[in-house]
Amino acid sequence: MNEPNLDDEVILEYLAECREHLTTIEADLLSMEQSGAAIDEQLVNRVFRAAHSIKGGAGFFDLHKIKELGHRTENVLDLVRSGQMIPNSEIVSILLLAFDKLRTLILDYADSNNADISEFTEALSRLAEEHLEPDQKHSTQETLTISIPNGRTPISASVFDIEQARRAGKTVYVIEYDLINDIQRRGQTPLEVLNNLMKCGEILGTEFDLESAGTLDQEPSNTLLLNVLYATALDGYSLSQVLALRPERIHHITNDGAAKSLETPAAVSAPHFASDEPAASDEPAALHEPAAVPARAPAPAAEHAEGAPKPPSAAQTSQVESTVRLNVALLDSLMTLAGELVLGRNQLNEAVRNGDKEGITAGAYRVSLVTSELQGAVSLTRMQPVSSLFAKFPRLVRDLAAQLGKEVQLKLEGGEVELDKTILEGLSDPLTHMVRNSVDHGVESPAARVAAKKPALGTVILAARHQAGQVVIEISDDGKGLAGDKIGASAVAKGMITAEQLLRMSENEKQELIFMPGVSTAEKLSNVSGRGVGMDVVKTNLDRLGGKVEIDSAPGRGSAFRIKLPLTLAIIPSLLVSDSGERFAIPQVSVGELIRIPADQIEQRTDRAGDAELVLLRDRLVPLLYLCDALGSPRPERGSRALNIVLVDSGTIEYGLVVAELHDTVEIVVKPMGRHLQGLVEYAGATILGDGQVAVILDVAGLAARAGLARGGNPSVAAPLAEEDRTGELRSLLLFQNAPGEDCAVPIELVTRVERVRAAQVENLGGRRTMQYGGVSLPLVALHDVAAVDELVETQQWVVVVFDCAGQTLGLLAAEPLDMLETRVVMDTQTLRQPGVAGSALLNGRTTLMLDIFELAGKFRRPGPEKSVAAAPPSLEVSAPSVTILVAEDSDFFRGQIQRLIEAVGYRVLTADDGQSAWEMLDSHAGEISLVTTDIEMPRLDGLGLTKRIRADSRFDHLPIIALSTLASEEEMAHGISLGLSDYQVKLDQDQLLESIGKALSGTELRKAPVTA
Amino acid sequence: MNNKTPPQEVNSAVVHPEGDLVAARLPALRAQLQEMVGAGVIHLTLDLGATRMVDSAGIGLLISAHNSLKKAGGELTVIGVSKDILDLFRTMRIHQHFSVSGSQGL
Repeated sequence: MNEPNLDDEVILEYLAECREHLTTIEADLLSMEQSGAAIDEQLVNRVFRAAHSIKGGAGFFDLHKIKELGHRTENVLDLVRSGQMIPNSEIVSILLLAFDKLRTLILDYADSNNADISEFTEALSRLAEEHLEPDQKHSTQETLTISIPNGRTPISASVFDIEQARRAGKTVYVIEYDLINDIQRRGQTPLEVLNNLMKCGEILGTEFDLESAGTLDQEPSNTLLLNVLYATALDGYSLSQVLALRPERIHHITNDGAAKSLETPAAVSAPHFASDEPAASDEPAALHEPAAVPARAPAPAAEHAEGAPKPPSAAQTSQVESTVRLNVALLDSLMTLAGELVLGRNQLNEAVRNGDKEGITAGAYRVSLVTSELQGAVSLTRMQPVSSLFAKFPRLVRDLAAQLGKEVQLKLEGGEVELDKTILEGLSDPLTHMVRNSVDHGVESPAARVAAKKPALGTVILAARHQAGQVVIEISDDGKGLAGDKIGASAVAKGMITAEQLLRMSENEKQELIFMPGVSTAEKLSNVSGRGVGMDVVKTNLDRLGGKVEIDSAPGRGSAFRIKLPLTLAIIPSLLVSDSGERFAIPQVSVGELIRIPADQIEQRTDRAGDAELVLLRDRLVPLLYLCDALGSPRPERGSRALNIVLVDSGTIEYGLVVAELHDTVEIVVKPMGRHLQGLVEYAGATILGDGQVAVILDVAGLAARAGLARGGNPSVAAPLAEEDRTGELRSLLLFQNAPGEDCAVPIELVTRVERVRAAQVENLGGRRTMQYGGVSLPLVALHDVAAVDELVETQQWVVVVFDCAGQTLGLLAAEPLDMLETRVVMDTQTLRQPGVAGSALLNGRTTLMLDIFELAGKFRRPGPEKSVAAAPPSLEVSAPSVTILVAEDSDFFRGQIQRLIEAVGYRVLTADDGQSAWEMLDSHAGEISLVTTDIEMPRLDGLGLTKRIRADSRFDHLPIIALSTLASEEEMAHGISLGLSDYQVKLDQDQLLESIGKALSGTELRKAPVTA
Repeated sequence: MNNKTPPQEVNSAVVHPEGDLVAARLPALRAQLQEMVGAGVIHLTLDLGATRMVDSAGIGLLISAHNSLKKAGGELTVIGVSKDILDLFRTMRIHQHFSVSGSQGL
């Protein structure tokens, strides 16, 4: 027989057995790899037998391809068993992939004879042949030719290489280089560029466009096109950043060999190229990352595409099983219960026929009892141990760690805990993502770990346990933890929250912002964790499963993500409420508490802010949503009715749902909504209540989204931010008044505290003001001390804005009203410039003085504050400046800040407003300058370009260069350091900057050797 | 040292560029090569024994020369290539288009 006999039960039995073999094989192979030369014979034998019995059965059923692949695998394993081959990671990788392929073949056994397995068999035979030199570079005859859309010379490379890169989690791109414009004109050599490329990935192939060079008798061509087939863990956007190439020049190669140009969505106005609008470049680059995601999201359909076989990565092997193995005892108990049910029905029928009321009651009781037992037993059949889900993670962690150059061990705990099959399946992707995150972002590189006095080997623990009727799955690592501030900054930059809201958030609340769409930590660059799924998607998936996720993270110590899941999905406890004459169910898991506000307290306890209604709950304001509003029915007369509020938590936002009446908590059976109603985000499903009425299940997240509720209950704040003028720098400012009507602003990051004071608290000693603050005497300065402005008047509510300025604490006298604003500032540094005032800007339609704290502090320190100040230039009269520092910064505002900060500690400062002029200045003051601080994003010549130029000049190879950037990812920092930067500082942490300058000047900070080819 | 015997025919020539193949030096070399091709040389050998560096424009010139010679029915041969440059050529797969061989039997 040529066609496998598919209806045969024997074959199904065989396939089930194969699948069983395959589940254990991965773990066995991994331990084989670990034991290396000291092979555990039993282990190898087990794997060998698995391969052997897969092969044997396949031969019997005429499954040729399965048989052949099984056979080759067996050959290699035989070599291992006989000690002729030491299972190193390469060998194990190939074996793992072969077994992956076997799994795919077995899953689709009917079509397996048509599958192409040549790549695997070749790899295996090669292993068998060349096992003595397993490190030799592989080459296969099979090549893949990739054409890119613009029709230039196609590029070919070995399929094996491409697949190997993909297996390592890399993405394959074709990069269009123009040797003349991209390399020569940037002062680089091809060797440098290629070496650079090889640092972040692998060059799989290259192809010149010979035509572009022209011939000798033509003018020297000004383009020379080279296509590079490149595999890297970087995502497309980062790649275009690192290479400083426009995204259109980089093509993502999909699994089926097609090339897709990296789209350039509006958000990817890559800073490198946006030189005509330098202000926009202050945004942290990493935040654009999600925008590039669609380009590299692997198309799942490609798995089945024609062409070379694509082994699924460990993450993708979670196939939905169509059969379940059951314990016979469980089946027996089901049968018994079914019998009981029949008896109960008979009893009930009998009683109904006789009109025996007592009998009916007894019968109903019996049926009810059996039903709940039956329900329990049936849901047990759907319960599966989480170990089946956990099984794939050792491999995932191994592959990831190897690829990221990290050392990570995975510990699995509580594999025996059982969960509903549906939940397990739904959990697979979120869990994969989170484990990836832990390895990629959580655990540090071995070097960083050792530096932090941790063992080089990082640990990721995946644990499951029962807790209060729920299953808790915890993913924890001992890595660097979540940086709430970075996440917060990212959320602010995305306009999800305002800077003001951020200030009020606890560390944990900041960390939880990671679940908001588009928010990322700045480090999030690698495509390992990218995969087009953000934490918000993880959250959404978990919400769908009725799960909750909590974060517990301490910077430096590690993070734990705790997922709480219901045991089963189909039956959930819910709170019944009613409104507008209908009943609704709210899943209990979303309900935080129930609040009833008596009619006479409503006035005091609720408030309005703009369009939003708020309720005061203990010490918080929680937004209110009237269910009747959401339903579109009129609100009932307020009158003397109390307010019933269900405090619900959608995961991203907590709000009070106002309903007409509260009822019981009941267990409801969830029925999905009909297809025609599924677009209604407000509803999660429906259920039939005990009385036969239908109740709709509310989706609290959907309700909030439909009503436009935002975190913090202030939906109006975030939106306008995004629409504001995109010019100018995005700054967070504290606004206050000086004299009535004189609006002033300072950057919020400079402010330590704001205190209310009464005029009487200010002590005036010898022409100097101080006040008691935290047990010490705080020197106070008023703007009119140094600048020609009006004085504060007593009728104003005074405040003291406390600054920490170059090691000195200083209070600035100011007056309310205070406000906080995040906006793009275009500063006029001419018109209103005077000592202590860096310039002015138009904020909220009012001219606002932008104060210069460093200058204020500097003026203040000098005895006898000058009263006679006109628009004097900034003073440079620092005592005997021995050291000169060059500050390159395109933003007037920052340049002034940095200048005065550095001057405040006694150095001389030269400033330049871009890299080019910095270079010119450096060139003409060669001997004088001892240190350079530079912004990264600048017009004409950026900070990295400046660094390269400085490093290329032998006069300056000792010169410390400190980069100052708003937010930088580790990747960018590493890149900068590799170009010769001495340090990378965040703009603008004054203390750290001064410390870094101090270190660099004292020579204690060794500069990394510049990388030049 | 190279194993290549210098071609004997009239339409063959060996050129020994002095120093690096970088933009600044190329115009002269380009003119020289152009002249040779114009004079009927179709089998051209470039001995890069004295070359330590090749930049993008240098590669451009090599490819231009290859294009010209191929059009004329001949070929370009590059010999005496230092290890770094050889690596570069191999990475760029330039050696698939014309013969490249290194110094010291590389």
